[in-house]
Amino acid sequence: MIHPAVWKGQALHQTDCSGISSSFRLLDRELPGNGWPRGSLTELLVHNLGIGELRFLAPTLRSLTQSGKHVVLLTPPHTPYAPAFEAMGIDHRRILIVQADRPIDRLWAVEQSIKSNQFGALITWLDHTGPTRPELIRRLQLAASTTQGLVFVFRPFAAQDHPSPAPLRMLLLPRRYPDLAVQVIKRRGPVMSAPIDIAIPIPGSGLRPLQDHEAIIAAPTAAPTRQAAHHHAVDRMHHSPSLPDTLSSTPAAHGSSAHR
Amino acid sequence: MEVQASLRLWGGQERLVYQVIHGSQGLGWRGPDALTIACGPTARAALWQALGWQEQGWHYTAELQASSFDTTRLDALPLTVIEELHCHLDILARMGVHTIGQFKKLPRPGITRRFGMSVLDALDAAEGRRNESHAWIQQPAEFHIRRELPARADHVDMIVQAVLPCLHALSAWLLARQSAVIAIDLQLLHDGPPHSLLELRCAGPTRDTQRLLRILTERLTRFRLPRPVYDVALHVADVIALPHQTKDFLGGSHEAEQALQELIERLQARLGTDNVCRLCIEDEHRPEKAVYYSAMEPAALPGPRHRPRSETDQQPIGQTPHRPTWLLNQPLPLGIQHHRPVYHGPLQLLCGPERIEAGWWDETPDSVVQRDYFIARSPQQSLLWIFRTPAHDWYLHGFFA
Repeated sequence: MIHPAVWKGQALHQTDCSGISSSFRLLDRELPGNGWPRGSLTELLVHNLGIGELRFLAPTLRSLTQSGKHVVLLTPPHTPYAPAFEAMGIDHRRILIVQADRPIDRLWAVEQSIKSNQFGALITWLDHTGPTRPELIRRLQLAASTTQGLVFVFRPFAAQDHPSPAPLRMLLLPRRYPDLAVQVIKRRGPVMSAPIDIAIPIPGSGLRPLQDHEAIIAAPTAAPTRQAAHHHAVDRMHHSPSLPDTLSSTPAAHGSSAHR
Repeated sequence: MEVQASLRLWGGQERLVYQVIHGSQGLGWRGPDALTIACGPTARAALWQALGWQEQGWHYTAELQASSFDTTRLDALPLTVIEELHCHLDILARMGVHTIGQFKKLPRPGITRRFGMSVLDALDAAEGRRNESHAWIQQPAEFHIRRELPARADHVDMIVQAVLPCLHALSAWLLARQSAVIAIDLQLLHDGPPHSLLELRCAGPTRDTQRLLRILTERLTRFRLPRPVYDVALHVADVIALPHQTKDFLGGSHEAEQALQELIERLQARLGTDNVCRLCIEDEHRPEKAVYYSAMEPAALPGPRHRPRSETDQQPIGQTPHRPTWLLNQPLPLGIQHHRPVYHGPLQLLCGPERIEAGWWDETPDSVVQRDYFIARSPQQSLLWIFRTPAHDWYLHGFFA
């Protein structure tokens, strides 16, 4: 019988508390504790924005917000667009956004949030402005170890070459099909051989590449044609007598009149 | 204070007296001669006892048991404690009457004739032969307290020390009124105007001194004192009724909400109110106006038992086509190569167009929006939300993260 504190290198470390399921079965199987580990830092390394990194976390965030927990977004890179979060089933009223410019304030905010232990997940983006010092990550990890929530840190790809005290690190690799591949580069367990493919389509979409002529036909003009109007948001142009004057003062309208 | 009926609740007389002393220290009553405490079977007896002790320079003895009261203890007190006799003290002294005991031996009709009825009434009230009705203490409707600092303060710690008793007083005042505050005005008075005014704002109604103190310290450490401070003034204009919270039978949920509010106000105190916010959705077609930040307020917190939105609630959002998770504050102009937009390489259009044409009802021409939105894939496999203006300019407006 092996002492529970000892784990063999080949086996995944069995933590005391089970993790929170990522709702991707294949991925859960590869994570110690069968899910996102509570009370520890999870580093997600991404190349670019928009490869589906939030859709990847969405099932977790959805279940957290629906069970009444709050999600803290600390220094998000852009404005989180609430309707999109709602479309993913995440209750936008349970999202708390914290902006802190200085790294020291950011660290303080993370520590305070973790200390209060009142959130389901805390997501932060580091290295916007430059590489984060390893001490800072270490302090984050120390602070995270006292919480029951999930702490995710998004960092750029370049950070994979630097050592990090985070116990779980994974690369999010963009894919054309399926949408994302996840490669765990550090975990309490054996090295993972191959990345796991993750299918996370934009909700309700079947995307196919548009042909060139489709895009060109659809160019907006001051008088919209019938065929371009299949997703029309508002078309009240003809009912507004004052509109042409207003429009003519915009650069957009100049362009369209030239086009005509 | 009438304590006989609830003495057991407080854990006995000793403990009650200890609590009174402890609480009064918080209010700034410190020092050996700040406080005299006495107990007696009637309020007047206790008051006289306290005055008597004060004259002798004692301050507290708990040995006077209310139940085993005997009049001899009062008899030993000097007549100066009886307020009604103050103008007759000289005559009485010449008569050789110095203590209450001596005074009581005088014939009652004579006392009434020479010193008035009120003296005997007071004596009877003190010894419990007569019921006395007291005026209730009325709390003032507004809370305003001003304290002079012992020395001019140019350091935050000194101000915090000075404000702390005010906070204790505020807390007691709020408790008596069963209410709570959201904002406090703290005025720091310098040797001349302009004085500094700080507004301490909490995320939720509170009367907890420690919580107010945390906000105060956080605010003050960020505040740069222009000149030394001589006085502090605390003013509360609005109070909110906050009845005592009963403990949840199953426990937990209320405290969790409270802790979250405290977290928010701590973050707001350091980072600024606008930097801790939540998302709001507006019914609006222009994406940049459909969502906005709003500073976190207590009312905005959904309760712990708040149900998630039902399917019918979500319908207007479900109808809208794909929206990116990240929206750029300012659309980013994209380059064009071979009639195709470029962002880290040529983009492949996946979906669209979705026309958004809105804003003509607004007065400013800048708010008019006429765009065709596409979802595009970059060579790095990022999904982007881009749009084209009628002038065939391409802009990046969001990321499908």
